[in-house]
Amino acid sequence: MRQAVSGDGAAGSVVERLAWQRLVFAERPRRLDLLRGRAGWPLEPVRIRVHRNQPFEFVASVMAPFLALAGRAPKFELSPYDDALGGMSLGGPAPDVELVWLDFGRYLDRQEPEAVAAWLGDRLAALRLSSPAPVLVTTAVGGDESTRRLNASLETGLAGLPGCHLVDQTVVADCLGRDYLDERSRSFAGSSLSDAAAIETARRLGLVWIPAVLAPRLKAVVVDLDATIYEGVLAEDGPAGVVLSEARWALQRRLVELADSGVLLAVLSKNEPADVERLFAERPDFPLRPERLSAMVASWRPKPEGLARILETLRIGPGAALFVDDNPGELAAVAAALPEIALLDASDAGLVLRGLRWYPGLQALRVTAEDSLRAADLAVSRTRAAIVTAADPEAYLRSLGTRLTFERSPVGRLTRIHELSAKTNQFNTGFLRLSEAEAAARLADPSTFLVTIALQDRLSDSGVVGLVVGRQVPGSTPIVEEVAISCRALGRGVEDLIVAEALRGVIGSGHPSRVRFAFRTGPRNEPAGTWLERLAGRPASEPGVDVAWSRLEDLGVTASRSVELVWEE
Amino acid sequence: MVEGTSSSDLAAVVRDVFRVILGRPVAADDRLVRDDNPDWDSLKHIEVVFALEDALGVTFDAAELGELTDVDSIVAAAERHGAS
Repeated sequence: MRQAVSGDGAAGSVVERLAWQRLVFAERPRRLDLLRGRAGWPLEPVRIRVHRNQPFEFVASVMAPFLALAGRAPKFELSPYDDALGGMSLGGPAPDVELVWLDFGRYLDRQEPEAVAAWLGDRLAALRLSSPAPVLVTTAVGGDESTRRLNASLETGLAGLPGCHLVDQTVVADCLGRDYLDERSRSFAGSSLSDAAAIETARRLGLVWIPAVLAPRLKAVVVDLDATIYEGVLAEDGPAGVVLSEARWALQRRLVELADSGVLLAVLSKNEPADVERLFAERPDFPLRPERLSAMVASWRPKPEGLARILETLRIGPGAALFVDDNPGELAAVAAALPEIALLDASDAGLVLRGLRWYPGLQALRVTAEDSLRAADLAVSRTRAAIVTAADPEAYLRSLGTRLTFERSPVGRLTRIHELSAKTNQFNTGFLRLSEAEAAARLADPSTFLVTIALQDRLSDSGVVGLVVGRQVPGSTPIVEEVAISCRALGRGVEDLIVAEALRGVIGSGHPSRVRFAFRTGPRNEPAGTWLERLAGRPASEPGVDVAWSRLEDLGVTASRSVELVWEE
Repeated sequence: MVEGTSSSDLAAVVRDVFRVILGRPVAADDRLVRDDNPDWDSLKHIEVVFALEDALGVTFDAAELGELTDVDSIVAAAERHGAS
């Protein structure tokens, strides 16, 4: 969750949050500073259950300031120290996150690495049965062969467990080197984790790993130019005069890395458009190239105005973007106009670089194929829009060579299913917000159906863009519990066909007279409501509406004349 | 490192560290004897040591950790390491 600020408190809250970033993005945060910090904005509790055989207290005590930036306040449930992890399958109310925090050295003394990984896989499978919460498992740390084999086996083993993620504790050890361990504390605490290691672990968990499993990933980073991606002022120094310092070079490289991982990039600058064009043309030493940008606004108009244009171009809401600027006044103006947007202060080059590494929601634990397709798909959307205005809908779809691929048991797409269910706001009828574990449980349940739909045309491959989830008990009316369609597929005239064909494929043989669509009203799902109203011929209201099967058949037949349909098992 | 401070100043810094780590008030004259404070357990002890080293700019020896049992012993150890 990213907290919104609005009204009179917005400016004060922005100042407080930017000051907070100096605390949590510091090169080496200090324990006392972290413990003294008190976030002054509303925080949503997050229950974290820790399964462990070693102390976690030093990490837990300093995690709150990091999670506060993601709008969360942790409540920990620490298991007893137990090498056997006996409490893991006992059940009880599921937390929001399960964390497995093990000193693997205690196992590797007695067993082969592969046996340890297999045993842990069994324990996690048992946990999976009792808790749908995402599971984070920290890797073993050490440069020896046993540790490498164990981590490799864990990676393989966890890949098959829905919602289980291996998070790389070795990055903490690597960045601290000899400072990772402090053997003085072993006799007192049973752990040789140093203070710096405990704090860095809390930082990775609080800023990156836990937010990555709790909230949708940020989709875009919008950056200012002057004094942000270089030192200097373009209008005064000219393209040749602005300075690409080592720190700003690293910042630009980080932006490119984010683009490579599927984050959309945009530039918002108070400059002459022609000057910005010259800047990129005359500075080939900039790692950030204009072709990596999905949107650019250079004008002297207020930045909130330009940012709104960029968000419209990127087809995302303000809650899915991070705005980076060196000017606190601009950041405050943007926060006042677009309270949901995430902000990052770029005035300190080191701080902004660490912010671009660790800002909550910027990193995904798993990058899906759809992430890497996003920028290319957006780039061709203008071409597609030109075609749709020039032709009737059927001709439009035919001319694009549109193909929909339906998958009935998409067990290999749990991450994407979770993304679609958790992220989609505009075209979402049910808001099931399925975790990977819940999606896996549905796939194993014969009374439920879950279909994914991929969209491709001659301009681009959009990947999996739709999800139809429901329940069918013999003798009862089938219930569609959720239709979720990504905004990248909206406006392309395929919504009817996606739903009609998915339902024909999974329940058509039952020849139902009608289908019930469950419906929940959300803050932004008017498009889904309008679509359902048109389908049902009556207002879409909670808990749902019935739609005649013949209506769905008609829609499917009409739309299928212009689209290639493929089913994959 | 706290430059130009007296033992009483060091003691104030030590008590402030305990306030933060234990998350409760500590009186300005509290000797804070470990045996009398059940919330100062072995795990908190290490956290206190980490925070004291940060606040005072010193590094205690492994053998000293068990001797840090109250404010006076902590101040004495800190002074041995150059905190003044």
